[in-house]
Amino acid sequence: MIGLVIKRFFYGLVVVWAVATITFFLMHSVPGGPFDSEKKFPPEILKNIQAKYHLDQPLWKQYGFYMSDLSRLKFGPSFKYRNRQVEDILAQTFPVSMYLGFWALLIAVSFGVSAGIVSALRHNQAFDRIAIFLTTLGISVPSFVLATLLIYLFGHRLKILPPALLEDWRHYLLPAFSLAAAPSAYLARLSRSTLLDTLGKPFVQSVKARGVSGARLVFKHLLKNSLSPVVTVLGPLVAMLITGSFVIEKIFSIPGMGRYFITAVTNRDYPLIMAVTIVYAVLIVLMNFLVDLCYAALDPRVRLK
Amino acid sequence: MKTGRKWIWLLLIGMAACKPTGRNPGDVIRYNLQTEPPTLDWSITTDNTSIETLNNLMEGLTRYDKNLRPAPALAESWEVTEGGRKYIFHLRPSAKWSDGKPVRAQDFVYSWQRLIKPETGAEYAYFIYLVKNARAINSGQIKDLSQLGIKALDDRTLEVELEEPAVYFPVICTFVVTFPQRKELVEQFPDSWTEPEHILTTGPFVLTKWHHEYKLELEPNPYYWDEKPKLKKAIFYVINERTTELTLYDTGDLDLCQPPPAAIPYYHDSGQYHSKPILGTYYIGYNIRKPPLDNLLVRRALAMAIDRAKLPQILKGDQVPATSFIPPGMLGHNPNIGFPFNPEKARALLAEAGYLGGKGLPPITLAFNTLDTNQLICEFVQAEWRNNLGITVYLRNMEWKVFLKEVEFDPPAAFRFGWYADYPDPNNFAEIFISDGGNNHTRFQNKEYDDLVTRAAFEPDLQKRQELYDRAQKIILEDSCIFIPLYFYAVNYMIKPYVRGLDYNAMGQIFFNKAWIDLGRKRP
Repeated sequence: MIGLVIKRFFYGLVVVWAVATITFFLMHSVPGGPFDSEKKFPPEILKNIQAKYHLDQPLWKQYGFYMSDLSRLKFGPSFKYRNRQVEDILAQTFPVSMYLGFWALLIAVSFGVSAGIVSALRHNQAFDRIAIFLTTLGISVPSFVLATLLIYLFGHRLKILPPALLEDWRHYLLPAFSLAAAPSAYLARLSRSTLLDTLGKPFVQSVKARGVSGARLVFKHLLKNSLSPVVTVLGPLVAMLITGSFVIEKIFSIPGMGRYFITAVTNRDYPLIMAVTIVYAVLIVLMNFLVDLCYAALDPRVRLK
Repeated sequence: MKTGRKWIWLLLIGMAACKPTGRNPGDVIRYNLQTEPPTLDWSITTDNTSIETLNNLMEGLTRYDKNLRPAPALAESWEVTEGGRKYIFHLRPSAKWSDGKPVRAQDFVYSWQRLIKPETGAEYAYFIYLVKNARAINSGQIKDLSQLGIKALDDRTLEVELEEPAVYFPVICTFVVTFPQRKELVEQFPDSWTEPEHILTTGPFVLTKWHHEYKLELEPNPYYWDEKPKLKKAIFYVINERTTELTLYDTGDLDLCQPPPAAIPYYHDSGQYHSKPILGTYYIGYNIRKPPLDNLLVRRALAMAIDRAKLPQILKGDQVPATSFIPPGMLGHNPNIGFPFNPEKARALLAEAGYLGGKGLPPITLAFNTLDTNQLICEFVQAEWRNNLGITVYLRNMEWKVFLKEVEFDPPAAFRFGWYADYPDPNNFAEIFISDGGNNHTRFQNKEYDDLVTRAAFEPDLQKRQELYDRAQKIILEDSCIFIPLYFYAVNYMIKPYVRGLDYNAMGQIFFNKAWIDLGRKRP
């Protein structure tokens, strides 16, 4: 097991290095620099700023500086938020996104998987049809539309939930539901179809013939044999939810990390672009490893090498 | 089932019981900054949000009066000597930092030296390039910082020597980059001296809390030399989304907001909506070296073919249609300069250029940075040119930084641009189009214009200055017609009826030191 972890750690390191390198050269190839502004300043000032941030050096040297800092887990100062180190920015915003993402994940998994199970068990009955309708809606309605509707209904009309900001637990409810809707619908459809698939397998008949039914049948036999595809999507889903959503954080004015996936690029804030990309890549690698471990736990035929 | 219902009811009642009050708690104002201040280090800041925050925390030698003229602030008086080349500022004895220590002339010397030092990498260092040796130090030609033309004659007397006399120098001293700094603080906490636990200020407020990307809290500075603020607290939220801001205003969680343009008609007559012109101009620039806009007659025809009076209806706010460049409320403004809407004359000019009815004129590309407002305006201009002159216009939108690169290195035939005043002096507008100006994207070069702008900057006689700017504006807007002013900016905002003493000035700046909550009119 320790050997496996070490091996996967080095594989992960190579993936993260490749992501960082590609991102580094891609972002430098995009027109426009971090200090371009509507109000142009004299050339000597631009020279001073470029010297301060090593932007006057050849690209390969800048890459060398960056990788050397990164190996010491330093992301450097932000070009936009000039008094702040990128690691401080992440330390302040990532926990907010993670906390919100955790609640969204909990809602998505509990609603999604249980709706999928009930739908499959009541195949083609009223509950199943309603669930199909709602999940289609959940997948096709963009989160910003749902968020706006929820704000209008609960924040503006009924006035029972705060429409935005982040003062206490109630402020998490609307954004967490908005964030959870689409994954919840997706998980419901996925678990329904895989469970239906399992229900058609011969072993189910044999288990039933042995007199196993109800919760024991569902949780001990059906779910264990149906969850692999759900676990597969959970890996990237967790990474996506806990790193925050640009749209949801913007609409609800939540000080999370999700906004930087867009704003760091529009600001050409190179260190911040690199940091959020690397954090995301690390989480994907980590989640995929955990998913692989879950496969082995769920299915004894799977052997990790 | 019944138990389930009971839980739902309990949850709803629970949420309703602790729902947001939606009320002003009294003596507190809640405002939206819209974006996170990128930095509160006033040497390196350049953006409006940070400057807006700093204007409530800090004061410099001078500050604006109601008419945007420089008035004494930390300096109680100043003398101008050597024909306008030397300024001697006398600091007021009551000027103190928020820890109670007196503001000293040395604090200004340190701050200006730090600003101009190349290692600081300050973008707005050029604001004090008119100070002796500033440019030479900033470009690395002089290493000795003490050569900068600023000296502390004693703790309360500051001497500033300029390269050339500049009548607007006291105006520059209102700007954040000239504010004093405490050397020991900046050097002890180089990355965190602007955080609430360290920052020291000289203005009406102190920063007590800063939850990055969320909110800042300001409380009165007990050592402020002037009248202390009436508010107990000012909360500045960072809400990026205009519709969210409007919702929070509606629910009573904000006391002031800037509504999105689409919402303005709904609130226009509510009694809470206000609009105020500010010192800024939106324009369509030409690249006068790129065909077909290298033809002066075509440029003039295009300028006369836009009915700018329709713009406020399109933008829903109270923007003021413009034909001239220097905005109203500033010396140099002259509404009679530029080409008003005249489609007949425009068609005649186009025919004279050899393009009768627009025939034979190659399509013109009008570029803009991607933004709803720019899209609306450029589509309007496209329609006006097509309807009034029969010409084809292609619109091309680009992401902001890509757009900036393109207008700098290869400007399209026509492009949208805008300019807000950094300081309320016409020099800030006129110097854009000088021959080597970094913001002059039109490729226009004219020695007479350059001379006029230089002379006007040093001309103390207001009447003569006006004449110089009139002539300069005629050159760029009529004789050479290098761009088309469309409108002067306005700030459109809503304010709760119980908020008093709060207003934007013509620079679009808002100061909270005189604001108070009128409890008698507070919403029940």
